[in-house]
Amino acid sequence: MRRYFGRKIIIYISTFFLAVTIDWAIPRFMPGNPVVNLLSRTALRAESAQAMYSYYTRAFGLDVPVWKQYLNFWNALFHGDLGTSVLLFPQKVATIIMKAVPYDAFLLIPAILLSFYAGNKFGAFAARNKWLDNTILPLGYILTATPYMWLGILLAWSLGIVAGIFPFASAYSFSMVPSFSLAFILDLLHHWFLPFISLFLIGFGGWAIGMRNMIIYELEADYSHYLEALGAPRGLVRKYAFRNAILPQITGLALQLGVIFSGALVTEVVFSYPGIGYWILQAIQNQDYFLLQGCFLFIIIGVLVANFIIDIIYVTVDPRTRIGMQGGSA
Amino acid sequence: MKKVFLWSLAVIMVITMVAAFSLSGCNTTTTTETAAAATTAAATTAAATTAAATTAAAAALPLGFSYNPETAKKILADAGYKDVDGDNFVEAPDGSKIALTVTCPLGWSDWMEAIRVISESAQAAGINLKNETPDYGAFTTALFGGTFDTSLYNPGNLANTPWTVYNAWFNHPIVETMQNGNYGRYDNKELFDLIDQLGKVSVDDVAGIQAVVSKIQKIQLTDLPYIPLWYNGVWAQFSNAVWTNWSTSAADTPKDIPCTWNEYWQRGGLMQLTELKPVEGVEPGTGTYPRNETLYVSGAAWGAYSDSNPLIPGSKANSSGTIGLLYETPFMYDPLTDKMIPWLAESGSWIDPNTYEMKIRQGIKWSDGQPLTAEDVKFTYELGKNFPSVWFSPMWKYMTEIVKVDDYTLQIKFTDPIYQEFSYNLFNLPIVPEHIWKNRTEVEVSTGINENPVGSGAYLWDAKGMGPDRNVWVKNPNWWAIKALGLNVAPKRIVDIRTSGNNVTLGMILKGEIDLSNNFLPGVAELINKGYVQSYYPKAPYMLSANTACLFLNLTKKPLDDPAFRKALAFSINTGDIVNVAYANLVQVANPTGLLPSLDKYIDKTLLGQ
Repeated sequence: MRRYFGRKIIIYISTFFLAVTIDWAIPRFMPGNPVVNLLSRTALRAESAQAMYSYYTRAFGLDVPVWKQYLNFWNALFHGDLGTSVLLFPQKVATIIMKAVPYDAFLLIPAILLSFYAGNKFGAFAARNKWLDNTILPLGYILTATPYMWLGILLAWSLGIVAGIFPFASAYSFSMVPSFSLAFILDLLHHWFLPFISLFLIGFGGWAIGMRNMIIYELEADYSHYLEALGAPRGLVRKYAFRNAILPQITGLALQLGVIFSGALVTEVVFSYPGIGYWILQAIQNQDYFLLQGCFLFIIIGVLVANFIIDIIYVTVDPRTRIGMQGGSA
Repeated sequence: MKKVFLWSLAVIMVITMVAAFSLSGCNTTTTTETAAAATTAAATTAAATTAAATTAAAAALPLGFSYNPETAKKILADAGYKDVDGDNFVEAPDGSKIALTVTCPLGWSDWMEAIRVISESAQAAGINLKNETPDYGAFTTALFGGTFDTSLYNPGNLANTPWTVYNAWFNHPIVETMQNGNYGRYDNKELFDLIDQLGKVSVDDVAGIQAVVSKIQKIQLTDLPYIPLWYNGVWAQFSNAVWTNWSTSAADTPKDIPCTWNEYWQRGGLMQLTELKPVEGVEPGTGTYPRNETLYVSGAAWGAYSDSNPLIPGSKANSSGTIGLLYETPFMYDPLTDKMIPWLAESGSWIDPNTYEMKIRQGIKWSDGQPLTAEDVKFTYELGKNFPSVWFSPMWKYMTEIVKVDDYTLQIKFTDPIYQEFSYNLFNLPIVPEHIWKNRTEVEVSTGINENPVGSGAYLWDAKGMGPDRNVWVKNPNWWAIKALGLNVAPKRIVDIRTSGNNVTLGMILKGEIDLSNNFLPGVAELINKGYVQSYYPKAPYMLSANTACLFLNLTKKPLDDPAFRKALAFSINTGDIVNVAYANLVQVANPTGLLPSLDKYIDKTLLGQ
């Protein structure tokens, strides 16, 4: 067990290290000077701008050699300081991201969990039910191939504008102030529904197809036939098959996390939902490298943490891994 | 190790996917074929024979330009620009190819349309000009850094004198990064001296200003270092669903500029709020803010909130109202009547050519209860003296000291003052409280967030209501003007919305969810005609004029350094199409001098042959 997790942790740390290095390097080697960019927006006269140039250069830590900037970056990272935003100077990047993360989490966690659960359940049903198979499978193929922002725009137009049932922008109404009142929570959910459903539907399609294929495979395996021959109830056979089929799906979830995160980003842009995706687009359009760097860092950490959780789940779910670890091989 | 490799790959893939998606929208170039160019070949050979006569005529009156592609082709031909390789675009007299771009920031949809028209009409005259739309950051980097070819921009604002806008168009001295104007790096000592001279003319000396401006305009119209094209409008469309009595050109309506943009609150926006009347019978609704007490505006804040510091000029567009609603200026300026309105100052006058006496109004209180006195005004102005990074610190080159005569009277002493700059700053320099700011360091003053801001104005910043896409202002019950001037702002709350797009804004204003939109809404002319929304003018141009959109030409690049080429370019631009097609009649063509209609008396019409 320890060797298994020890190895995993080493891999995660080296991945984190490599990814963060790339994340740090990209803004540094892109063309453009963030200090000049910031100064141009302040519209200062030349004399005042000169006085501020050296301050800004120091404020962004750009006055030391590159290798020292790299070390300073790691140092600041462990203090939770992701730097200062150029776009929203003098706000700190960490402040901006912290305000955006709850919206992202609110969108992603239910979408991932519910689409995984519902998709797999329906996929399992579809494997042995001809009518469901003929409807869900094509639907699933279409859904999983749909780009996130296209579905988002379609839903915004049909349900938001034409039908007018749901609002299609912002996290909560302009007349509301965040509070724990029922009115605000309902308003929040009302605005949350469309971005959530566009993430949910695409995930649902993908999992349904995968599960349907896995279940068919499992139900044709030797142990299934044997159980049926023994006269076991269909439900029991299905239950065993489901357990075996879910394993590749969990692996698939780990692999899909990156795609789901990026899908959430573009969905947020479509619905102006104030999560990290919204800030990434703002940062790119305004050449705010530090905000961009901080957002990507957050995504990297998020994906790695989610992967780690899935690895733990994998251990608890799959007894072969558990026994294999105890046996000394991993 | 394989897993590390796979994961790094996955991360790189995510990054590149997101970046690719976001970056794919920029730098669109369109090429148009010029079918008419073939017919110009015959015309240019005929015009070439009269070359000698036309070059002499070009320098004579009348100066100026208007859309005339034939004149453009003639000027090009006379100056030696010929199409030698048959691609319907002229080459330089020395034979080198010409390939220029015209740029505007990506996402500014009206400008993107406009540069498409510019590009097409220039190409029709034989000038190889292609339109491109980089991101705003890249656009300004190229503009200020002097690496652009030609770019649209509109420095300058409604002002009480033409000096501010000339100081922008002909900003000097020329340095490596030109942030405040003269992006094309036009270098003309005679002109710069004239502008410096203009700055030192008193604002009240209309004849004196006209004399200097006439000389400036003669140089500008002869050399054409930039091409004024049209007047951008003060985009304002409003709904009468919840609030009424908006400013319009009709009789019996208020005449304040209904604009919530940063710098416009003190040019009429605040006054408009005092004139509004709530519509009878509007339900409060179920939101936290009662509908009948709240004014919803959009187009005021252009980006996410970053700070409440009135001395950081560049970010005030994101918290529009910080200057005007929260912090106030000694005077206000009404561009429609060309009058300075005493505000925090009760009066101000030059008691001798080097001394300005300002009397501060008594009875003004900051929002924390402390009185606003001459000490606050003196402190604010002296921030520019103590901290060179403050934006108005260059004023101290000619300000020498500020003497506090008594608690409510100041005498500001000058040597060789630039009257025009000082006068312009009287309605642009916000006064901050000395008792709160006195111990702040230069870094805090110039870059601090200034949380929990204390101001003297009609509204206070509502930090609780602030969200990622909205700013909220709440009425200040102790505002001084309620007693002193009998003014009362009608809405109890202002919610300033950052909408995600123009179509969203349009939908909201039609439904009455936004009361005043200061966004540019393409096609709104039709809705105004049908009566769904209202604007200042009931017919074209519908909107008041805000500033002049000019095509800046980079004079450091060939062939833009040739005045004849620039003139030809000016004649080739179809400004009529920009107004009718790109803007659907929401703007007006600019006077060739570029001065706004409110400064009409300073346009030397004799130069234009009128």
